[in-house]
Amino acid sequence: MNKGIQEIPLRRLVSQSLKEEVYHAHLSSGLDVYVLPRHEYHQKYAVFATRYGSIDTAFVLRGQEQATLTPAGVAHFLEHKLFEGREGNVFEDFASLGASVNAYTTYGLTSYLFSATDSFYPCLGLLVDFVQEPYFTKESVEKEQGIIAQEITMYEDNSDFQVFSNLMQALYQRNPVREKIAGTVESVHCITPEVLYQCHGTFYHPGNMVLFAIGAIEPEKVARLVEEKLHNGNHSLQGEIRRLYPSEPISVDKHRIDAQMSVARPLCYIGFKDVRLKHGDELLKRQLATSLTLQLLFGKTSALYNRLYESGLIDATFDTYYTAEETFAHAVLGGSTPDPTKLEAAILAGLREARENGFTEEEFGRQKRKSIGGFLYALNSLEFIANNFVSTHFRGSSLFAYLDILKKLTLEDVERSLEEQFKEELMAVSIIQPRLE
Amino acid sequence: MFRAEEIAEGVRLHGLSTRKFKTITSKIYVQTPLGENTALTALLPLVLSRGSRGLPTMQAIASHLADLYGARFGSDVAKIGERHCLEFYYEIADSAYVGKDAEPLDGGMAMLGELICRPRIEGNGFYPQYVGQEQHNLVNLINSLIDNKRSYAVQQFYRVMFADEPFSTYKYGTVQEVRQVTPPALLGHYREIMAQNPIDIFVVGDVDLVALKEKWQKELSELRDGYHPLPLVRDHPTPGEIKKVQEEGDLQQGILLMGYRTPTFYDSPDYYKLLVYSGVLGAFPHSKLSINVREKASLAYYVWAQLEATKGFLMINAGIHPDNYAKAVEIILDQIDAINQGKVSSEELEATKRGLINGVLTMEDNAIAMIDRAMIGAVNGVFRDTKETINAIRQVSKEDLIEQGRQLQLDTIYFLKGHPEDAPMGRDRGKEGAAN
Repeated sequence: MNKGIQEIPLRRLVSQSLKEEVYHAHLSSGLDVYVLPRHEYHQKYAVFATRYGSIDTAFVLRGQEQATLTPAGVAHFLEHKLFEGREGNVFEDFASLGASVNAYTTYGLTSYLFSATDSFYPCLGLLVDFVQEPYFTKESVEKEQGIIAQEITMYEDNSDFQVFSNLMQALYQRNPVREKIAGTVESVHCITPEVLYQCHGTFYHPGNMVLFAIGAIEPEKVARLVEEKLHNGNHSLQGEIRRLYPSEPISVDKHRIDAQMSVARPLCYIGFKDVRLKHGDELLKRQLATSLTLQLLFGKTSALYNRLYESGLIDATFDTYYTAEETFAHAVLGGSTPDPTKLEAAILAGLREARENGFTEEEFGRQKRKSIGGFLYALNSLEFIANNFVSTHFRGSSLFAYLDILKKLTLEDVERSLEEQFKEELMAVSIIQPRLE
Repeated sequence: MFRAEEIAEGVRLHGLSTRKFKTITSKIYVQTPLGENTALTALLPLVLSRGSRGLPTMQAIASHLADLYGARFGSDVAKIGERHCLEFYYEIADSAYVGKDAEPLDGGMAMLGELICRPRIEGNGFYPQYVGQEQHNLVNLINSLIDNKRSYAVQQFYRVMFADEPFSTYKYGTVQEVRQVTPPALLGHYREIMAQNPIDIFVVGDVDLVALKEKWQKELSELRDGYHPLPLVRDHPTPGEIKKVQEEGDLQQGILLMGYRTPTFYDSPDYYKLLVYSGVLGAFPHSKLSINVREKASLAYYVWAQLEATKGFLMINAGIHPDNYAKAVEIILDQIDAINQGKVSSEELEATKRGLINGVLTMEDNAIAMIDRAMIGAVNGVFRDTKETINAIRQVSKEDLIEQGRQLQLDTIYFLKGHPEDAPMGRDRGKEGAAN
């Protein structure tokens, strides 16, 4: 094979509790490659991701003093646009190999992925190539503006999406998480090939990326192929990317946002901003502890959930979750309700009651068992493993640590979370009422 | 591939023993004819999941499930062709991963039997409080269909295309039907379908199928009585004039749906020819619809074609700007014409076949996907293993596509027309461009 390439050392990480192992290689370009062999599956899955999401709209280019500001929606636009290579549509290249390729953009990252049952290595080569080879023209950017405008309009017609994005606007004053990931029809029209090249050059450096592959595949072969692909590129060390995030005040922007849409029943989401941000395993621990707390407070096993359901104030659409990144964190709960104001009051009363009474060891143990089981379910999906491995990696932790951190959580951790989070003054409510004809 | 065995009259156990997954997944379907007693069937999964004899409240059920390492239980109704199926889903962690105190087969499967076979009853009906509350919830669910414009459009499209056929039935029924349900009527319906209708039990995971068979035989022995097989509907009405319906909706986008009738059903030997046809047309990003409507004309974010072969129709679905209706319909019709005239490159055909085969193999990595596919087979009375499926896909030729295309008959063009000028409400639009 390629003589220019030295043997690539692979590190083997084993999780006894998961009965899984993962191989790690740090390539000369700065890229981290992880491979998790799963021999009994037909599907083989690879993700190539950059730590560049919708919130990375301001940054300082190397050798410059001035900040570069970009329109909302560039990360997502780039994600669309990379699929059009110099030689045509990337979808067709994967299709000719019988694989399916896709991508998604979140607040914090952009992921490109494919799923194949054979031709894994040619697909892997294609993946690395198309993500690393930008090609934008004025015409192709204009054409994409039309497609993305339809995507944005599709979201705008979705009431769950609207109630959520209104909640982000209420919770945050300045953090770009309050903008929609795809941007707006207006912001997307400000995007030019130059902006795209600049952002690609900054954020698609292998040192800012990670590649994860899973399936009946050989770790050495994966690492070698990716090394060969990136070997010839000019990946001189770039150093840290200086991302600029506006400093977010502690308080929320608004306590309540009301909107109207063509829906049959009111929709109500309640958010709690979490201002004590973490990194790495601490962040993962906080995420797991807070999610457990939410389950204890408002999950189906809680007395409060059952009381609210019986009274008709909530129905099966009621759900809760907590999300934590290095630059923002919040809990969200809600669903359809006949009376958003009453629901808000009931949630606050439930919180006060739980703070007075605390949780029992029995309740805590039950929820913990439930969470452990839930994680095992998720591990049946190669897609889940791949996508979550990547997002956990960018947060400075590891998916392999998940189960161990979860198992070590104590009742005190959960009670601390109850005390420190879910503050009434950091709460915001987003409501969509049926539009009156 | 599942091993199917009739364990009681009309009850089939489809088992797949494997160590591939970290959980054991089970799904149970009770088939009923679509369009009869819709509201009663739709209410059952809701009321059954509220409480059983041994676990009388939702909280008791949830706590028990959590104790079994977060076993999952779900219930709903599904529409497969002209069957309205009661559907139960259950998944439990394999004891190899969570420790000795979890007993998947005994504790786990007993739980499922408890919830399905021993409902909470008062007098001669289901527990009235649960029936009342779930009637209320179901009415809300039916009224909320309008909240999701894409689902709403599909249901409206069915109402137009299948106006005089059971397939137009919304799977949750109508508000009026739901309101008329009484606890005794619901219990009567439950007992009748549990006694007489086809039941399919699917299990995937590391389980002892012999022990499981005995368990279910015991669970169902008291309920089963006088099995009534259901006939398979194979009507193929010839469309007259194309039905064109436009409806104004309170949305910004326009949702376009087009429906073609086909005489090729799931159990036909020609099924895979039509499957490849719909793939070339619109199942993939490389398909004709995506390339021409999305990539070339920039008219849509999503546009795809989908085959419902138990009922026998092909549906095309696109989200477009309301002003582009005529243009989009024209391009879509052109794509159908192109295939029917044999304008399909060998690359297109090959890529589609590879994509479909990739999908078939990928399904084998997902227990629920395997079960859902096998259930379509159970309704249609035909089970095809993966090898047979892949071979059938490989053999499809361009001529087969032309032959299938000539049998397609355009029946309905439905358009839910939005108002792009309506600004979304309640937001300060001025602020949004601030990131520029």
